[in-house]
Amino acid sequence: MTHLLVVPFERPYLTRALVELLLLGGLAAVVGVFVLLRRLAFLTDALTHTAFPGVVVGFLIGGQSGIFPGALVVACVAAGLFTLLAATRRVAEDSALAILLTGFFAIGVVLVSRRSSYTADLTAFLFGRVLTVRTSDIVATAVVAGIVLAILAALRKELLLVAFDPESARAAGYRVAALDLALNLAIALVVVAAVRAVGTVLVIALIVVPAAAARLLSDRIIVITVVAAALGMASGWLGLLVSYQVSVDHGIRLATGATVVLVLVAAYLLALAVSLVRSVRLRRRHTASADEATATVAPPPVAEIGVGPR
Amino acid sequence: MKRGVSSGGGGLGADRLLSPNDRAHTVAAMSSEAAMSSDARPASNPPPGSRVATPRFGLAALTEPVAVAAAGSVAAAGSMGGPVAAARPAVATEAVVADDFSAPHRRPTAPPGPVWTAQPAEAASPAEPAAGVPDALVLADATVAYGRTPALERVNGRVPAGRTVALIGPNGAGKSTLIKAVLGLVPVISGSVTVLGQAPARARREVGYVPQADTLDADFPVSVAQVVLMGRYRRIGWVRRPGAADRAAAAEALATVGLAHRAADRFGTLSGGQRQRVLLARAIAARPRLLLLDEPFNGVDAVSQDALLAALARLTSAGTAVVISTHDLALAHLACDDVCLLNRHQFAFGPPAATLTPDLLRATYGGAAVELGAHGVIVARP
Repeated sequence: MTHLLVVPFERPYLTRALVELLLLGGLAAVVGVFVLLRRLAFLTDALTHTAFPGVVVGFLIGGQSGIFPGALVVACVAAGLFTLLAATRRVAEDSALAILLTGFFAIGVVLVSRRSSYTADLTAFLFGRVLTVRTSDIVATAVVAGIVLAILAALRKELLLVAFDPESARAAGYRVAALDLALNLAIALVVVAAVRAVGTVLVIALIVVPAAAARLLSDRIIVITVVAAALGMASGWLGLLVSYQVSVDHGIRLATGATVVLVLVAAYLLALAVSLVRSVRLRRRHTASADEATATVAPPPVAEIGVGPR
Repeated sequence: MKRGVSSGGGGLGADRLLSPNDRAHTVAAMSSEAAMSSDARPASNPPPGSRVATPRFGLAALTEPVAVAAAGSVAAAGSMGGPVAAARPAVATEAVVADDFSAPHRRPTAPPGPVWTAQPAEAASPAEPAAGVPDALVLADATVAYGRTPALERVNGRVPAGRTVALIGPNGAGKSTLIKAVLGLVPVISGSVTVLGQAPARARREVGYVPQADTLDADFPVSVAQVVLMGRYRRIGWVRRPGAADRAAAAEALATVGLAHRAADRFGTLSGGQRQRVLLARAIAARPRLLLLDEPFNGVDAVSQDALLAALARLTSAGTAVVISTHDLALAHLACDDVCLLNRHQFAFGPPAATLTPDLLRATYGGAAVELGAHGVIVARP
């Protein structure tokens, strides 16, 4: 069994794919914790879709090496736009996001459809090709990871406060829009880094699912972050392995990115089951102790000065 | 269920809410009660003229006479040898809660015990503001607006250090808007708001804000200790981690509200009242000179209310000025030196005895929400 888990990675292209997926899985999961806390899953989804035309334009101009800068420019612009949108609250935020999301996405599709290799290109952009990742892509991902993790580490206190209680953050003199912009840019960078490997559509799963699963298992942010990162990396490794083994041993082609996502979703369902079992146990214990309490403690006295239950 | 608060119940007439003189009397009443350990209470019948005359819609001229009257009240209580803070529970015993309009004026045969149970010893003498210390908050004809429509017009008032002011008015009256204006989050389009001698936005670091606990996500994965520590973030500054001094200050603040034993629990597992106390502790941890509380007593149980009041008393005795928006007239009477009646504009500003009058309350609440019983004022609350 052990050789099944290790041997495939002796092939260089699989090693590169593994390193890329480990980096992305860990990075996206850590960013995902902040996405979860600030409730930005939908905005993240919008960012992934708006990056798409950037990917296409970059590719049309500069080929494979144009993808990264193209996506970077468009995603950063979109992050700024979304922050502005959220800060002004002129339009109901979610409908505005939906309009931008589909609009940008359509632009991307229209641009791709003008090429002769339409279908193949579209698939590559949307779902990525982790097995063709080059060393330069890994370096780019590592650099992005360094930048994003530095931003999150530097601002973690303030981002936590803004996510928990934005009104009080404003009252304390923090510029909430600026902090939101920093977080949105961090998300945009992760999306851009992930485009080559897993595509613009599936990256949302790498960001959102590990943190959501970890949240089910813990109430402490530090634990959630560590569990999410571990889960993201483990899913990247397992997904790659499964897709490779099934393809080689059984002749069934499985897209690697999608397999990674399915592994993540399975992990989420497992975490959900664990948390459900836990809460049922807790409730039983709670009702038992509550029964004891009602048996021994007299009802509280009626409040005197207008403080009774409403 | 509607609930009513009857202020100045019992044998007092409808127009006879407590005046500053009454406060002095009740101090005497309480100390004599304490001495005799009985509920014999000397009748306190101030002359009718002792009420501070507050013009109903007088805005500009309002603050000055009232401020004098407030000072008089402090002096009166002080000269009795009784602490002003201690006078509050005595006043509170005059307020009787009725859970139903059908029987709003029941007065308990024995007066209820002081609510101010957790009164710390050092709260006995409120700190007198030193000369040269700017008022915590000065409102001068301030008009506040979201966009172009004024939300609150021409508000006047003065909150010196160590004093507590209640903002009272119906929902949508502009209480929260005024608090946001003091925080510099809503623009003042005419007149001025001066916080600790500065523009509101510049004074933020010395101003604490306590939001309503139920506006926060109960599922958020933070511990009580983490929430309180957030009050230190401004002092800690960017990038740096909280140090030992910050943790100590947070722990002390949490102890002040009586929740030190819940530090490790998740914030959302606490009751509404306890969450409110944690948010107060967070504000205390920042050591503010002006503290703003938005409806801190909404849906708060008796224990938490006592703890909130005790912590606030401790703050004011240390010189922090406090502004509380509330629906609770009895609490305003109990815990506040001055009352600001608001509904889109200001109806009064002054000591509770002068402002919590039937006429002014009826005007503030638009008549419909106020009912006058034979023995006091009943304001319906949502």
